[in-house]
Amino acid sequence: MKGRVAWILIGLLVAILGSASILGMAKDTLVVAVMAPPRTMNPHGSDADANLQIMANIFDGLLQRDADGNLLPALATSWERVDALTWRFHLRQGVKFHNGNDFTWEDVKFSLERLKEPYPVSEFLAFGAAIAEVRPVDGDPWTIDIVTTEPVPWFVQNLHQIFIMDKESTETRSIGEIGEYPIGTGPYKFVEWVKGSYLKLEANEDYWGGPPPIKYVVFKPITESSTRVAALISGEVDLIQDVPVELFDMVKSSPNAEIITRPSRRSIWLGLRNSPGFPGSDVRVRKAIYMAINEDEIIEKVMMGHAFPCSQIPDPPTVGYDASIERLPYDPEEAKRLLAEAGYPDGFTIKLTGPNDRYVQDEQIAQAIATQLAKVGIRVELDVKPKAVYFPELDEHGLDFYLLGWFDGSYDFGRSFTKLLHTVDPERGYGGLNGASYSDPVLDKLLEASSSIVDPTLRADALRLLNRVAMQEKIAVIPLHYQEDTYALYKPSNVQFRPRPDGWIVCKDISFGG
Amino acid sequence: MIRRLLRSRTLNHYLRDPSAVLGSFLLLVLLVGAVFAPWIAPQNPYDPKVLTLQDSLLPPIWMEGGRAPYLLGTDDQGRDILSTILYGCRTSFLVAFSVILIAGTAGSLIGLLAAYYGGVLDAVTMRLADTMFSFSTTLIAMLLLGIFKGGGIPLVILAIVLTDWVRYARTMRGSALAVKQEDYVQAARAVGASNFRIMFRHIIPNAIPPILVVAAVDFGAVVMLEATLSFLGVGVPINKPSLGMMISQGKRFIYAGKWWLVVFPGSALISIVLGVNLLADWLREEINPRLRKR
Repeated sequence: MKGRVAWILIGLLVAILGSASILGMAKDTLVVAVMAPPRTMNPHGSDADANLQIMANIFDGLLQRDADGNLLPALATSWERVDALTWRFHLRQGVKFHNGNDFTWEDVKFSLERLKEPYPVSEFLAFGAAIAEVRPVDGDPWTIDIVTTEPVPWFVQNLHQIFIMDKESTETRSIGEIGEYPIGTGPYKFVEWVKGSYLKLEANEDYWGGPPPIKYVVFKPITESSTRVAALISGEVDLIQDVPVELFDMVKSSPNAEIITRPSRRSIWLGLRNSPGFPGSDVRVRKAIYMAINEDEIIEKVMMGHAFPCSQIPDPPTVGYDASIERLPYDPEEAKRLLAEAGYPDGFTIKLTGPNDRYVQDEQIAQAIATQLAKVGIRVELDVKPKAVYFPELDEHGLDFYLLGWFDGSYDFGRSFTKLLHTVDPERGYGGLNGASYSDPVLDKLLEASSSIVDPTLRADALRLLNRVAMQEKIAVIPLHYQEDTYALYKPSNVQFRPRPDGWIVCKDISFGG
Repeated sequence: MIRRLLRSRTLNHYLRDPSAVLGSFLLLVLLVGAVFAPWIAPQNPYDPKVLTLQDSLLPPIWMEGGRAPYLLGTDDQGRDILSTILYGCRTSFLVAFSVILIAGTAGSLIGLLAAYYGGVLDAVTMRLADTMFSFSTTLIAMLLLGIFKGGGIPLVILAIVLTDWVRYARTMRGSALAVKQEDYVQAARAVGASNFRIMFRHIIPNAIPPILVVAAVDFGAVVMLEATLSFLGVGVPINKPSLGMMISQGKRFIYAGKWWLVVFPGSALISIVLGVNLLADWLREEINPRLRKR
């Protein structure tokens, strides 16, 4: 009898607590399901967006970008280019790190110099190598000059993703500890990271930009896309990134979900070797492959309508984008003619390498391309693999034909070109992601000519010329499409969210409405 | 001869066992389909020249939107599901038969030698077998396919054989140890028969029935294992899908209501395994009459 009363009381208590949490207390935790887990809490330890977007909540850069991609002040309140090599920044005063330390110019100097140290400290080696000196101006600790080794026209454009660390706590801790427990100046403070499960952050009430609207944020990596969708529809999470295209209509019809889309900055394209003796060294072959690919069909059938055809690597806001470049038409007959003219009347066999867990429908795109190229006699051997295997292979520059996606975080085609298509030159940090050792002296010269131009308008013209020559004459790559960024919100949570051009989830800009 | 067979006990038992008949019927249909796939399949799903993306994700012919010649619909690359199942069954049977032939022969031989000669040879091979057996076959196969960067039916076969031989080695060793003590083996030895002759004329014939039973049961397991490896993406190449690969590629679409991508290849896989197991059950009872239900 006593036992039963106890059970009834426990039951009542649970019921009261349960209803209180639903009715009484306002929701104070935002749960975000992301596609890829963060690799490290060291803000320079990974240049992948999956990592940077999380770091952007804990750390600040000297600058930041708003939801429209505009460059805004952050730890620097203003900036100017003094001469070709020197950039001047006025620093924000009175900012504190999460551990209570004051933010000073020494932290800036320390963080920028830290970029030069190899993995696991930094994945921004090329950027770090370009920094010659960081020094206060005329003894004023709140005004600093950053001097580069050579003119880097897009220097400030990259500063939203170069996060500033606390000198004292970084120097005194091991790299292992730094990778586990981040100390930044950002809008959210680190609470707990259970690897592979979740990362919990708490609002920084002393944030220089004012406390963020949501008290707690939990990032949950859910790599399996249908599981991610299920978690959203059941209300387990409030916001998901990357709604899979095959489930798009299903999510859209769910009364609990709201879909938000935005054209992505990321273009998907095919790189092709052009070394002598290889079919791709003949521009007619490059054109033939281009014209044998039916991009409209790929968008309709593989991307299920969630992509936009592209004719070049950069997206419209990028310096160097040229709206006059058009796609070559889809024309398999012409492709066959070009192949015959180039001496391949019966086509040839080529290996297409690509990731199967990186871009939207990447593996399916590769298969579709194999199917389409077969129609003009090009036999494609498919070699798709997880990104963890694929990207190291790409870094060795030994591929023949590969699928890659790209968007330039610094909005600069000059930077993109040096990484993707410039003749491989490890000493200068050129061609790091040039997977097939593509090399064209004309294009290299055009790029080098552009980097010494200080005037932004003239430089943009030079980059547009480079882009036009690369895409129209040389067919340096075969462009496919821009992706579409897709998000879904759990409607009952009433999350106010605007997608950003870079696809990052920046929680200080998110709130619970009404 | 035929009359003898018709009157034989075995056939009688077989015909009186409906599950055995059902099992062999299922297997026969799929085996014929697999063997003659290039002639009976409406499409060669492994030839990119005949695929059209325009025909991707069509439902089965009896549903709205379905159309000829795609009887069971198409997958996301425009492959005919029925044809891909037939070709996929080819892979399943090819892998299963090859593995059983290679692992069965090698394993039996190892088991026989270990039992016959005993001593160090026996100790070493059986400890090796124990070690191999203590790991999950899937794990070892994945490890191997990972090291060799995956892909390709020969590698799948090799990966499975490397762990599968243990079953046969143990079974053969057990039988051989028992038979070795029999009077007729001792007699053969006494009249001066060679080791080779004793092993192959006297021991093997008596150890074959249990090996057959193991092989029959193993068949279904190997088919499942190939499907598992392909499902996990370390088996066959993506543009030559087997049943397991079809299921893993199709599962993304289940939530979107495109059930035919998974249900049909899944049913084919179940049918193979079920058919083999029903037949294996019957075989086991037939060979070991003590198990027979009366």
